[in-house]
Amino acid sequence: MSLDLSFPDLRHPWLDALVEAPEQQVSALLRGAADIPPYTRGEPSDAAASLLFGLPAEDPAVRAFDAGCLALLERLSRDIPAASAARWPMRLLLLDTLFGVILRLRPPRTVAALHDGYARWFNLVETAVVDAALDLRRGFWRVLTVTQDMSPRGPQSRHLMPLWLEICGEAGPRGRYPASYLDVGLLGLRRLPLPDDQDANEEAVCHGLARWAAQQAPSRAAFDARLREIEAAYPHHAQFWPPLVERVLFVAEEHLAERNNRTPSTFPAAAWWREAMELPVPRAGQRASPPSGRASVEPPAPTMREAILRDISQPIAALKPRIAALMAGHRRYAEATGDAFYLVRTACNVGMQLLRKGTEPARGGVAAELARLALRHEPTHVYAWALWRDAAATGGATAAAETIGWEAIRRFPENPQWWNQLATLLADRRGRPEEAVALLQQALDRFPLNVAVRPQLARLFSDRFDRLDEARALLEAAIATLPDNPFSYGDLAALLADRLRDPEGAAALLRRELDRFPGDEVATNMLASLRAGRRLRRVAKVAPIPAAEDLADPGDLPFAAPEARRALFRAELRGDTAMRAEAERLLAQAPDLTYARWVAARLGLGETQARQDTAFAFAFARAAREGSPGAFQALTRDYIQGLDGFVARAGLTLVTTGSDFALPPTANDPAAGPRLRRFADLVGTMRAALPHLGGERRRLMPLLVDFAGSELSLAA
Amino acid sequence: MPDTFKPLNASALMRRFEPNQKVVRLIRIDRVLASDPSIDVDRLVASAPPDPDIAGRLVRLLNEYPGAPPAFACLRAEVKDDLAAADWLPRLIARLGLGHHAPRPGERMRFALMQYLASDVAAATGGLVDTPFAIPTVVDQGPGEFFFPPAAGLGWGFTADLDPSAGRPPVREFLHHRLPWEVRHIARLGILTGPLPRAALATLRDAHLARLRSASGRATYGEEMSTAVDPEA
Repeated sequence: MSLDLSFPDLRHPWLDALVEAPEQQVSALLRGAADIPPYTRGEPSDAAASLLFGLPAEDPAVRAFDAGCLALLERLSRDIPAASAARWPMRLLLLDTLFGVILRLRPPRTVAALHDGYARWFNLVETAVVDAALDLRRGFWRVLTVTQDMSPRGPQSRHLMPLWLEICGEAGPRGRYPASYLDVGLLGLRRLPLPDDQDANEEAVCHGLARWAAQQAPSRAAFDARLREIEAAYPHHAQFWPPLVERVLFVAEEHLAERNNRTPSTFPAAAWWREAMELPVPRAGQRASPPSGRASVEPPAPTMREAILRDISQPIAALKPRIAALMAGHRRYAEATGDAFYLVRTACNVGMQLLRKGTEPARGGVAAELARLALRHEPTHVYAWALWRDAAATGGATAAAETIGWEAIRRFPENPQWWNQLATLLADRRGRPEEAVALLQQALDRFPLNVAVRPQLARLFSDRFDRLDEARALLEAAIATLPDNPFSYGDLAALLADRLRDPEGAAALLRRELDRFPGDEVATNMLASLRAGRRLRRVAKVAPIPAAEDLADPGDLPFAAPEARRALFRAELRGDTAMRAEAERLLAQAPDLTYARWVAARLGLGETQARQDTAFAFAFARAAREGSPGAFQALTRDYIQGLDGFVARAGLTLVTTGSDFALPPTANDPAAGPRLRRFADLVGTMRAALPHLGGERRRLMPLLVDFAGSELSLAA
Repeated sequence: MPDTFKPLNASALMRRFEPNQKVVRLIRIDRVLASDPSIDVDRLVASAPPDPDIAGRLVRLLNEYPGAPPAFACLRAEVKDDLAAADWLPRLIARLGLGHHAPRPGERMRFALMQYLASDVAAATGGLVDTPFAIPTVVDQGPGEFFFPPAAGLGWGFTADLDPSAGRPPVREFLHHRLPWEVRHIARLGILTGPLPRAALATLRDAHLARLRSASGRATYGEEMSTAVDPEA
């Protein structure tokens, strides 16, 4: 409803000034310098609402206000990264005030620009968290929560749901965000646009609550308070809630069980919630029964997936429409309810089988689509990342596969499989075995006890470079380091017999292995082959390298970030001068990318940047560069709470003579969030390696620095 | 602004109303149609989606109504099953307790089902009304055949189901500030032809009272006052 206030005398004179100079006047309004009596002392958002009250959307002043907000937003996006340390907080304060005004008045072009350029704006604010009051990241997300119906993707787009769910799960002392972010996550879920067949978002909100309760383990009082809020917001008769809660908890516990090797898993709030709904509480170690009632929206029947898997060897042209129909059903269900468990599992399952049962390049294209769909709903799903990379390679897009490989290393640096698999891709499909060797050597520094790195490096040395002595030394070291790993014996025996003309040495080694493990069939067969004078190992053929460079950008992935990770690798490889040149090239290419700035800071170029990045990753990189116990002691004083504090203490352990790494007591809880689980894996790796490193414990520091930086620039 | 949404009615104002949920309101349109006989309602009922030209004229007529009386409405989620049924209109009339719409045998009554978001209501007030949702009380309608004000503290009003034997959960009802209608709000139109089956008034009132007592946990709610509880006696 718009009141007609078009009579000139009723219009505030400031509106004419606004039409004349939109950006200047909006800026003045935000700074409290606009000539707007009697609102001069008011909050800018209140003043703007009063000045524009009742004006129709097509009024020149309303349009000018929108244009002014957008222009100021653009200007701040340029000013903030370039601001001096002294001016930086003031610029942030101005942006925070602007977010408040946008939140209140929802200027359509400005809102559309914020949604449309999500990755760009997030990059601007992700490290602009000064304190609990001045938190631009939270402010940005709050604007998005209440303007989802204005997204350029359409008034019914629910594409931000995975983000809100992730924020709910990570809001609290065990997560990536402060506890106050739960309000943002739940508000985002409440305000998801409603499709025609849906009346409200209570199911999605309950999934958000379950994620938070599982990952953050709140007190019963805190959980009950949130539950009461939801029940008050969505009034339903008593019979409505129990089946919905049953579905939500079943999915949450299925998630946990999947992470926990299919062991039945739950969390305390699940029992409280069931008690409140008078649902049966499963006994310890037992799984809850699948939900009995039918929901208004259901995922596709399992038989549909099973039929596709049965026919998975058929030509892709016949499978594609069936897969599309299956996934459309899963997407509808996930977007309506917030439950993406079935979607992600089905996408990965079907995608992996597509690649296993055929080599048509088109199968790679379909599998890549499936991986991208899964990752949009669960960005930390490691199988989906592996599927995406392998699908790109199968589809002939090996450059894109490489990009994805670097991105996986960037996001999950604590997991050696990404290093090994990327090395295979570089050597076999990208024609760069030298780079594969360098990558594996870096991996060996980070994961000295990994069973796969040395044998893989040895094979590259022997098969591609004829560096047989180095290969032999590596395999001998592998046996010395991990004497219980049978594969290194076989690899070394093959090297001795096939390449070093030492069949006696090979036979002695195999007998040694059989003394240890009499049942080792591989060693037995190899001995038989030796006696028969056959080769012990066939050298794999290397696939032809594509003549022309194929597509490097895999789409909907911020390409500059994996490029930055690769640049970091190359820079570390070449030494100081080249490192500096590499980092400077990188910053010139992507000056606003937080991860690129972090790479620059890590390489020692951070001092030239005026911007004060507040993220823990920057502080950790600075401490690691300095490398002194004092630097890490200061870091542990600055970061006391949350996982960052534990990472800081791990750094201190590496630069002192500490004997162990502290781990949050909840790290092994099956409901722990992804970052906490990853840190537990990392600590496991470092704990095992530390006794083998002697005085070289600092070799593990790059792994910790990588981990600290792995949370940056994740917006896609 | 009606008194319903003013501070004097503060105890009935619904301040924590979730704005992002769908609301439905059933409007009898015979009176407005009488003012423009050229509107072909049968054609409008038959067209899906509603013919925008005819629907536009209907909306203009509805919006010509002066004043801003509070509008009774309910959440769509609570009547979803009724709306999915072929006989959605008589079912809705019964569930919403709209007993005053009782066509005589052969009489036709025409209705528009309006559907919108609660946030549309708030947006339409332009920020002039702090809380545009309220629990219906005696401020809005005195006790009648089909209306009971809810017990204090219940948080919602409840409609009196005209078919108590169906044993359906009660539907929450509330009032909201006037919403200027738009064509997009017309979800469907329907024609009701009398007569409708109707339970005895005493039966449905007793059933409704029992529900309110159960929902409020006050066994004596709605009971006649006696000297035992009336200090003035």
